[in-house]
Amino acid sequence: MDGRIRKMGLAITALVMGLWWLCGPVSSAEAVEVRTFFTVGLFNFRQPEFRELYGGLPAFGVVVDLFTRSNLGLATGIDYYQARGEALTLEGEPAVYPVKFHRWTFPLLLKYRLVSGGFQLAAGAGLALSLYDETWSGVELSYHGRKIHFRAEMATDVRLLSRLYLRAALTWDSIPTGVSSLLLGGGRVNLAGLGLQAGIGTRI
Amino acid sequence: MTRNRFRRRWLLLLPAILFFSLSLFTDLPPVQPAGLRLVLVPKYQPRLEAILGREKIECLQELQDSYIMRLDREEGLRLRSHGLKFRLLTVYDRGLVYALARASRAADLELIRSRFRAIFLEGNDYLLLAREPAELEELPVNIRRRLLPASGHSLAELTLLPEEFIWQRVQDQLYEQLAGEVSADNLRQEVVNLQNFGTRYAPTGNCLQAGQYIYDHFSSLGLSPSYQEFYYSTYLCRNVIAQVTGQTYPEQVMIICAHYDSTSDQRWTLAPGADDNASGTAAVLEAARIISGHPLDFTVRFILFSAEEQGLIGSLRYVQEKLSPAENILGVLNLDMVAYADYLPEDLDLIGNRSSGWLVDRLAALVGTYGPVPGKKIIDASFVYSDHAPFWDRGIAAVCAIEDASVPNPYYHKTTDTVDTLNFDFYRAAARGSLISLADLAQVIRPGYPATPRNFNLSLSTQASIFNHLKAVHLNWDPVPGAAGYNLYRSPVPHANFQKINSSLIQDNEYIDNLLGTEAVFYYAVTAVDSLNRESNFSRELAVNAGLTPLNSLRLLFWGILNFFWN
Ligand SMILES: [Zn+2]
Repeated sequence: MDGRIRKMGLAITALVMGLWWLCGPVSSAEAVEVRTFFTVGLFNFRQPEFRELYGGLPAFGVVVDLFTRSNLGLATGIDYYQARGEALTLEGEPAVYPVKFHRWTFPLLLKYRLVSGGFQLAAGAGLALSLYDETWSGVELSYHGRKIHFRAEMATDVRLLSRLYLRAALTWDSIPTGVSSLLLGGGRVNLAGLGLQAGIGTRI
Repeated sequence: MTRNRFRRRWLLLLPAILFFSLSLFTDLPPVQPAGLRLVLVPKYQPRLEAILGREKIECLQELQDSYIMRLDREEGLRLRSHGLKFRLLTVYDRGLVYALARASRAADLELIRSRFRAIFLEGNDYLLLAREPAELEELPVNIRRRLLPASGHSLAELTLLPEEFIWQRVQDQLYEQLAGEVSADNLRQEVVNLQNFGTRYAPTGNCLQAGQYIYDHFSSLGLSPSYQEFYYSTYLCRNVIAQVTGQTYPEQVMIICAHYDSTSDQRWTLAPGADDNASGTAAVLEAARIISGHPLDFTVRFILFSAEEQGLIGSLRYVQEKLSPAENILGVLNLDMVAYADYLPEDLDLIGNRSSGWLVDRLAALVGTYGPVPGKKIIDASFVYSDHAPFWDRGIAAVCAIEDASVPNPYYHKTTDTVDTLNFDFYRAAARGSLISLADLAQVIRPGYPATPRNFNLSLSTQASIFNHLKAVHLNWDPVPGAAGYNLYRSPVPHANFQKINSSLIQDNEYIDNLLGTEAVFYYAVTAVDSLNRESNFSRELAVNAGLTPLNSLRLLFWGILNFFWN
């Protein structure tokens, strides 16, 4: 993670903290419930060419959810996706060029939850900052980009022990980069896709 | 009552019948179906060539500052809608003959106007309308003319070419030795022999005999000449063609040409045409004599055209009938009047159009070194009054070598254009320069040097990821016996400015060049190097388009459909 990414991630986290503090006078500290999860999962590009190139992307995440008594909440965290593949041959003789793809995503979502006993269902939407790069081996080709984009999420938590929870989450990202790609016959790249993640976490 | 109704019905029917019969007549095909017109489109308008190319407008003639295009009403409206400016010259009539003529003096223009309908084009150039080609014979003989081609082509998008061209210069004894073989005595004798036909006015039997003489000359050199026969009006005319076939890349062809016909104000009986153009003809024959004794990488073709004086008819017929898609014409050197010097030192004018710039530069340097005679570079696409012009029409690099483009020989097209008016020092230098240009462009094979790599080929492959792609040029060639390695050269422009891309000798007979740059077209050539570091001639030149052209393969179509369902 380079300094720039860290700075942006910190900025988002600071923003969330700020909002939390702003909410402070309205609702007392006990009125806010915080849940933190570590998740792993798989991300699937919507674009079939990208799936052909990289397959499903292993994803790792840290999630912080804050809910008020009114069951409205904010969610933030960090997601990391990475994959390896081989550049696709569009014409002529095939050649092997390994390629790597990384993405860091810092979401900030507004959520609403339904709670029933040890069971919680939450849905949310908002913005996320994604930083992505693609690098070739064997030749000096690489690309770095970033984009603030839309994210939607649905998550369900099940209580295992008094403070320990199990989570399954489905996220949808739409990341129109504005960059054209030969892989799409010159069409614009959207890194959109669906992520399925599962994790374990705790209520603070 | 019934009868009245009946009559009324007839009255109603009458106009219908009238209308029907009228419409039958108006449905007849119009006499002039296409309604074509000739227009003059000035160059230097934004995106001009791209628009003209995309709209597939037919260009009949490129001039220095404009194009003569043939189009119909709809095409004209489309061009206007693109914001292009052009000037209507005339409605095009397939029954007429169109010619371009250069009237350098006011008196010439008056003479032209008195006899023809003449439309101003640009500079001193006019479009003339005649009923048949022979009518142009009524033009004063000193006026340069050419027939407007009957068909044209749509323009390709212009590539930006540099002003100056750099290439690998060969400096060795062989060129000096070859140039030393050019004999002023031979040149003089050939000019005398041609002059002795009395006239070489294309419609005469004398001109046919002169053609036969040239044919026999080629035969005596061991070449296998051929005639290209055609008719001017009812008169048989013949181009004479011979060649030395290249040993490495026979499909790469360098042409040296001249017209052997002549004219004067007494053309049926006396037109010696010593400078115009026994001089060019004899220089071609002398080049053939010398170069036929040496092996070449590429083919050299010698063409002596007839009926040039009738408006470039011989060369027009050549490009119409003899160009083959299996051949690549590297360049054309047209010699027309290369033996008269009005003052010394005389320079040799080398006239090219924009895309022949590389050839002009190369010829200028070679005639300057090996003539030696100063070569004067002139880029003038309007100079269409000799046999190089039909090659320009086909996009082939061609250069006209002429003693003075602007100040004509005072004996030009006169009965006094005889051998005794020629300057043989200047003439010999022009002939030496032409010969070495030919030897250099067709690549005479130097003894003791490594052979030129054969079968140089390339293919392009494209690899892509989400954000990046790589175009790789796979180059290969036949191994050269005794070679220590190979050098590979690349250029962003054709024929010149090649840069070696390997830092040390390439050991293998293949190479992959990964193109990470942004330029769209690259040109390649390979050489062999031996252990004494002697380098062979260049292979043939190959071009590759590495532009970001969107691919539309079946595979992507398949993914596109999948993508549609996913969405
Ligand atoms: Zn001439």
